[in-house]
Amino acid sequence: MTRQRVAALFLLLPAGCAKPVKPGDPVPGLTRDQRDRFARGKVVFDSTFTPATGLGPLFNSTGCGECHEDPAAGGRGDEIEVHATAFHAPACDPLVQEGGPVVQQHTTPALKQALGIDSEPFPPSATARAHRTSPVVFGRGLLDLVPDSAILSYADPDDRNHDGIRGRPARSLDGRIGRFGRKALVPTLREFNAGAFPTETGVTDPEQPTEENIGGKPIPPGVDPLAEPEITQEALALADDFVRFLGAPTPAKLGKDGRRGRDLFSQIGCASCHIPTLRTGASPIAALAYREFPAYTDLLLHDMGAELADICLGSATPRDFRTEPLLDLRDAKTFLHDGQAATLEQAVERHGGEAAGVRDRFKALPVADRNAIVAFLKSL
Amino acid sequence: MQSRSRAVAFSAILLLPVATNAPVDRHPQTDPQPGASYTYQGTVRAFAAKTGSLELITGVGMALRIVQVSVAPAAHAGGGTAARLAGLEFKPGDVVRVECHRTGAGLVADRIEKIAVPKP
Repeated sequence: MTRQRVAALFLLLPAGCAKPVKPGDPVPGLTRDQRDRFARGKVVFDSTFTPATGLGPLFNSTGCGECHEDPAAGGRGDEIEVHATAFHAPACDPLVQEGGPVVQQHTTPALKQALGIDSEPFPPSATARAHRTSPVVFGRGLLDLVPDSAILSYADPDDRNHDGIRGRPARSLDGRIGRFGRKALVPTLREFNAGAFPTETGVTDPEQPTEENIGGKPIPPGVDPLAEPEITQEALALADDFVRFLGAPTPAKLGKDGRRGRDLFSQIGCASCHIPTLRTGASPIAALAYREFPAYTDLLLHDMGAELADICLGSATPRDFRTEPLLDLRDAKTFLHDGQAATLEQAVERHGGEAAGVRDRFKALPVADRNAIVAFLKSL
Repeated sequence: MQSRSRAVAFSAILLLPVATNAPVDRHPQTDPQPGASYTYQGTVRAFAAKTGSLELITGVGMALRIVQVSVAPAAHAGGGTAARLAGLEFKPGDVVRVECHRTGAGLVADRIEKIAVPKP
């Protein structure tokens, strides 16, 4: 062995020996202080709220960890949410005047006593209803740091390369590029997390200190006596840090079938939207800055066809969905945004619109090749 | 055409400090103080030209809220022009930036800038 080969071997060793990130693990390389915040943030994330500590009066869950729990904190849940909006082309009305796009499924005892309701009334002006599973939130801190320029570089709204794929960036209500949520309405992870407390648990925080109305009507007096905001800035910041520091699980080592499946995944065009690797930009958190990570998304909106179409949101039409990051598929029990696909094959077969060509190529593959793609996906 | 491009570029330069430095209140329900100035950027839900009532959807993440702003006739349109709001229209879906102040009757717009319009 030459001296150069020995040197190369030593250079490669650290990469080969890097500890894999398991679901629920923090990103590697955090400082001691950041690991401490990750641990303390997990406590907030796993907290169970009660009406006495701010829960409700409308809510979907009693805490973040109730829905994001499998296979670890930050994972997925089996709860199905109801969302609703009104689409009057070209504008989308998120029905804030009727309670907003998330229709909470539970009420506190005080609200039930006051109004006699078990859930938020479905908005009467809605033109569509959607069902939403709770996705994993692993790797979201990394997705947050993908530069807008990278997202825009994948966009091809006029299909100039004639591949049938017309990705376009989502826009938030104030015009920024969106990336979080199934319709990519929310531009930053911080905003998504700060909005999730009041939306999902009814717990107001310093960045959204106002309770949602009850189907457009004010909260009855005495139903929500705790002063706003109901959690502190520090509690919000800790929960945000916990989510931000959750790593993207390292894909499992591939066998022969998996490797073939990975190649086919690219060859038939899945990777045109499910971009395998993204790179973060600058960040004051060194462990998150300039990192390549397995993302399998372009963070763009794509027309997914009439069968999957449900609600509009922001600049996304009913047919538009943001490319779902394919993270921790190994632990998933149902698939797609609504959990209606029982298998990965079904999930692929429900793709339509811009993905119809890729779907058809998948369906035309021999069974062994389809199985190879599934084997690859289950390694993620 | 060229002079129009120049005008747009000039107004963009004039607006740049506003667009980059002014704080945008992304959580509008924080009990605004009378007299204080606020900047909201969001999507138009409704605009009634006759009454000068503008409803804006803003929010944090998925926690969306409505901000109601009165559009006084003297409020100036953004874009570096001297156009009065009386001649302007805002449609649902338009993304606007509103500089306003608090009065006893609520928020009153001082300046409105149209950022984007929804694509058909």
